[in-house]
Amino acid sequence: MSEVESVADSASPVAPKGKRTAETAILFEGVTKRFGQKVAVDKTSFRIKKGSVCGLIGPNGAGKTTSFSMMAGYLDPNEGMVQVLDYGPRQLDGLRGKLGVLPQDALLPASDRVGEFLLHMALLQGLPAQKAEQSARARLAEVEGVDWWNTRCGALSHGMAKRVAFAQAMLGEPEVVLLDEPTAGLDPRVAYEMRMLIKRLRGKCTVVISSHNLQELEQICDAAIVLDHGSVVAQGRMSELTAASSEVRITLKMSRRDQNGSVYRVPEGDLPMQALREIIGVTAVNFEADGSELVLNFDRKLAEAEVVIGCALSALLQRQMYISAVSKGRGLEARVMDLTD
Amino acid sequence: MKGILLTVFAVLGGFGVTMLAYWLFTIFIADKIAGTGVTYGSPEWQELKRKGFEEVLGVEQGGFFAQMPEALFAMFQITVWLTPLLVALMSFDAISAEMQHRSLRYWSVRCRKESLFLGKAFGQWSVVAIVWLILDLVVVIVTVARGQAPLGTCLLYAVRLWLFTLPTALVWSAWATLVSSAFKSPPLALFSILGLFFVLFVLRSVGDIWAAFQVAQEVKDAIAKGVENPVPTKHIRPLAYLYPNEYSDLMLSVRAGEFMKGLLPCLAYAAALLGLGSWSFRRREV
Repeated sequence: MSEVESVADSASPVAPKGKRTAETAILFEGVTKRFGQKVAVDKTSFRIKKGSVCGLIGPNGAGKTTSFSMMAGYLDPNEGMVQVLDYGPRQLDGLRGKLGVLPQDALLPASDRVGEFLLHMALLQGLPAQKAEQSARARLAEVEGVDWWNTRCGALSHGMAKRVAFAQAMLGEPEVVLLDEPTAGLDPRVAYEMRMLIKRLRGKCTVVISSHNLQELEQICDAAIVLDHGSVVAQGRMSELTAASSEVRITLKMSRRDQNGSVYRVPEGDLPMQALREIIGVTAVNFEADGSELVLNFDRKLAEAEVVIGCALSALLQRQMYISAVSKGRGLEARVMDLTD
Repeated sequence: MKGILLTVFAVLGGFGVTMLAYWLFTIFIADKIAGTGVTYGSPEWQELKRKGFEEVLGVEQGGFFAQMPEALFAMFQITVWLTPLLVALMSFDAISAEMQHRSLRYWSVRCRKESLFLGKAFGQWSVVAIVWLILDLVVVIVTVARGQAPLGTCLLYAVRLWLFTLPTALVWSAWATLVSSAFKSPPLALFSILGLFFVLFVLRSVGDIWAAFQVAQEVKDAIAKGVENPVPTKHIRPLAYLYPNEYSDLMLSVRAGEFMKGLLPCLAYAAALLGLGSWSFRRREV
């Protein structure tokens, strides 16, 4: 729990406990969900701020789909409270038109035509007939499905159906959009376009994405909640979770060939450790020998990551070190692997 | 597609069974009146039929049935018996299939689940009503084309009989939708609906047998007390009234009081099931 508290601060898109404000889009307070004896979500609390793009992360069985389903009103918590825009997820009169959901495994009605389906969904959201059709056509165009208007949903491929389902989630102007595995099963080009679409939502509405694709979440989200065994193990800004704002990692090539062609390892003593420590803002320098990775921690109030990178590379090049890669932080994947079993 | 196929099969099957029942009836009657000099369909036959009905059902009720073309009466009985089967086949996947494929999740964030339940139940009921209306019209056309009754008479009885099937069809639809909403597997929902309908039928039979014993006992007691020609009081058969078709017989009455005794409990039965189904489906997780 200390980790949870340590990554969340008042500026975070994932608000800390006990600070419920008008800026809260989604609230989980002491939520528990059981399926028989199995506890899927255990006394979980978090808040997602309005306007943020937040990822729900965790291994299989972590409780992210259950949490997502409770946000969407598919499941009811056994204990605790779930609120979306200050309404219970089943208070449809208050939420109508404000909540868009892309469920993961829900099949589209096979006999409906795509246009009929989207129009029906838009009308149910309370849009007037003319605006409903405009919205349906516009959303379908955004997912490059203009030609599918008269196609039966049952005739769509998996990827096409996913895009139609995405379009229905975006109908009207929802304030909160919940996306469950939005790019699963899509080819790389379409997945990229979907990511771009989601990125364009930033600032317009609150987006919650449940996904296993951590690289994708790292690109799209500005905040994340990491779940494991039904509990939140970390939450906060993406840069904080990945330590991207206070850590620089430089991968070096430590093996070399001499004039005779035989391989040797550069001694660690050749590394300019003192010069690196003297960079303004740097608080610690460590070398992880197994990964040939140099880790520089710095105080982000004193220096920007880019400045630290520039100074560090300069010092390393002066010692004729071979540099393979440079990254800010460890990356979400490595962080999640640390946090979860 | 399933609805279209079932409609076609129901109309063709219903028509076929109606015509078969009507043909068997004419053979039976022809055999009964053989040698009496009366021919089937003649004015003498009509008079004989009227007297027979009046003797059993009373003047008003008997007169009503006596004027009804036999083919239409056969059709009415067939539709009453086929309604549970048609409803079961139409409704078993109304909600269960959407639960299985989670399609319901697209709707559940936009409209109340109780509205969805009621929409499904009334939707199934409307389909059954349309199917039986088509069958009615087909039988009317055939009856008129064969010169067995004038168009006006046929339409009058056909519309009335069709209206009589609607309340019981609503109860069957409510039962089927309620069961469908309780399962995520359509085959399981179908077997459960058919099983439930069979149980209701058995309960009706048990109710009938129980009532017959009660009547027999009452008559026996009256004779023992020296009452001549004892008339048993009507026994209420609580179990039998769980079977929706029980109400259709009451609704056939030409007396308003009797008719309402059939209609109102039937509507209350349907309302109770629709209320129970809406309530339970509202609480259901999707």
